[in-house]
Amino acid sequence: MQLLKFPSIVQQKIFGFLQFHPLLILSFCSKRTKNLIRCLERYRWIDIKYIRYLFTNEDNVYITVRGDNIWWPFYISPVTLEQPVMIVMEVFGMRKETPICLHSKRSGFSFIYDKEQKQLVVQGIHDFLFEFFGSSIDYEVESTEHELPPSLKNINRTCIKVPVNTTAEELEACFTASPNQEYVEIDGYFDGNLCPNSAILGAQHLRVHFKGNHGDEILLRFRGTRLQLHATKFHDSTISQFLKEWKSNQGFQNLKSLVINSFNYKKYDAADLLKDMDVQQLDRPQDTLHVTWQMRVLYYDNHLKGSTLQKSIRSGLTSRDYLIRDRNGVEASVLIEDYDVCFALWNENSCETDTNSVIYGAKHLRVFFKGNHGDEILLRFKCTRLQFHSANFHDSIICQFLKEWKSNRGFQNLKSLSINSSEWKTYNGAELLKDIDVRQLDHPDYILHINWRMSISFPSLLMFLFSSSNSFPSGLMSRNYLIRDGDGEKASVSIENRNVHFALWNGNSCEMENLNS
Amino acid sequence: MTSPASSSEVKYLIESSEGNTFDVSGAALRQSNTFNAMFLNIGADGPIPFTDYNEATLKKVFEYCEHSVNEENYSGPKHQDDLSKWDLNFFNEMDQKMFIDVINASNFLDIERLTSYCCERIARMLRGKNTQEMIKVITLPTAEELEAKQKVEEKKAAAAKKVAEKAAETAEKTETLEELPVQQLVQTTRNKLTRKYLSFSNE
Repeated sequence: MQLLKFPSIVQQKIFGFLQFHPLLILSFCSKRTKNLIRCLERYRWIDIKYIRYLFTNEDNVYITVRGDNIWWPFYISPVTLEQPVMIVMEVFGMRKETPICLHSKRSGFSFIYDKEQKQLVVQGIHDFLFEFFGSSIDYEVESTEHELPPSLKNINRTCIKVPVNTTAEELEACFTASPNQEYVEIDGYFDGNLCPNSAILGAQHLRVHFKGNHGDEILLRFRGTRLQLHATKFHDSTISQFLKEWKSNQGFQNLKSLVINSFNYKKYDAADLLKDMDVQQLDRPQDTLHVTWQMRVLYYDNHLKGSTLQKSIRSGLTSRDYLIRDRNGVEASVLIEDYDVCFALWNENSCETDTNSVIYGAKHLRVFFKGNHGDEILLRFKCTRLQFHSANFHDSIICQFLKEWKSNRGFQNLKSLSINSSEWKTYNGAELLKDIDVRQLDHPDYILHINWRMSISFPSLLMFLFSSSNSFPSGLMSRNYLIRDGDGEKASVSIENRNVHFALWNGNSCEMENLNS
Repeated sequence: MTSPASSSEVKYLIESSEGNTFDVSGAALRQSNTFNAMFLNIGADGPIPFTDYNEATLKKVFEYCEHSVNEENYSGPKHQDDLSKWDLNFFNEMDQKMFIDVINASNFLDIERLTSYCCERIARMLRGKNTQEMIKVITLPTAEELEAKQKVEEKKAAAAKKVAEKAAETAEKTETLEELPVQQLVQTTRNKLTRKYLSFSNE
């Protein structure tokens, strides 16, 4: 049956019934079948994000073609005396003389090869796949600490766990064929010494795990845009030198962000390191600046985002301190605290000012709003007791508050909340609580009273009424309560007409009332 | 008999490559998107000419269409294991040549169900095979065959070159005898040689 003579619609239909592995084998048959599949099946490759070559122990190489809904793995392993079963044929466009063959008996899709020709074989596979899938996807190399990976062309990202006793030259050789990579990660037994013009230091994004070694040279010679160093020690003089060179426009022109986490190996004294640096601060003491950016990583499944593949993770710093570069006036936030040194340009990253109003930090806060929305105050309140009078709330904000408290994602300090929206808003308790796991007291005849005292710090009518105290009583009664995830903390909740009340059982006075007595 | 089809009772005459005609029901023909696009609304005067395909192939294709008239709407190909006994017999009783002709005719007539089943059947022949086995299924020349073919072509080219050179010599002599002007002679010889060489190579 002459496949190549069928009309292309028929050929495409036939290919459509084949999964990746038979298609790949079919593409080995001839240049024409390879080109045909590449052209007709291009629409199927469109979701492919990356191909990764994982080099593990005993010269095994796992190759994975991945997209959000694509997972086509295969692997190659070296020929041994116990594995003599080979099918001699041309694979991956390599001549029969090339020592790689389809493994006929092993389950899955695998090949065996002569490990003495590893570089030739792996490069041959990579060349074939690169031609087959094109340059629009990412090609990644990953290795375990058992061996260094061979140097391959057209690689975008590399993550190497350096084996024991590896020299700088051996490590450098892994990058000879692809010296300009988007992301490089170095881990394992690495003592920090790199070749003078190392390709590693030219990676756009570089992450280094150092396990207590000094990273001074890496920091001072880094040529890329984003650098993260974990468990790495730095001499104070190196940090100072970096900051001074950046500030005086003598170096680090490409650098957009730097994160140093020295773990337990080194603590930094911010006052000492920044004393001669002409550090600026945001105008208002309550202001801080969040600077955030995306740091590259090898692709990973983000289960929080529906298992979509992500190739970067969010990094950031929060600080009031910043530097202004001489001559061009570029600003960069700087944070030096305990074991961490962070630095990030404003204009190359995302910046957001956080006004940490002191009001949000008041232990007890009472707000009279006369119909205005109190959403933001509720969501940003950090302390223990909050009361609103005549404030208006969106239903979604009440739900968000309850959900965040319940899931232990916020409001950890809050002991009580009272909202009285007066004539401005009425709330539907059933609607607001419908998606929240609300419990009810076991016995239908019982209701729980929760009482607390709210501070008063200024003369008012209330002071006359409760003149002997600097606080006045507040409370709620309800049969409904929530249990917080994680710690099992309980809080009663009551949503009725114009009022929303919430109070912890712990930290307040609780009293059960029998409605029949 | 030809008329706009609105009922399954209507019969159409189909003409094959041999010039033979035979009846096909409207219901069966309507499974062909090509027919629907070309004749359904306007009708046809005389037999519908599907003359790229022989009678046996067309009859086989429409046998399938007649059989599947009452089947539920097509929603993608069934797995071969789910095919009915009739379907299996239908495919099994065809030899390879007929099978290929049926695929081509079905593709031309755009009969989705039949084309898909045929393609799935071919895909099934390819699954689980290694390269050499696949090469046999899809009838690709092997590397040795390609090499041998290349050698033959090289020999042919060399022979053609020799013949062309000899012809050029002869032509030169002939034209000289006729005392043509030199420029014209050269051009005529060149043209003749080119034509000869090209026709030889094309063979």
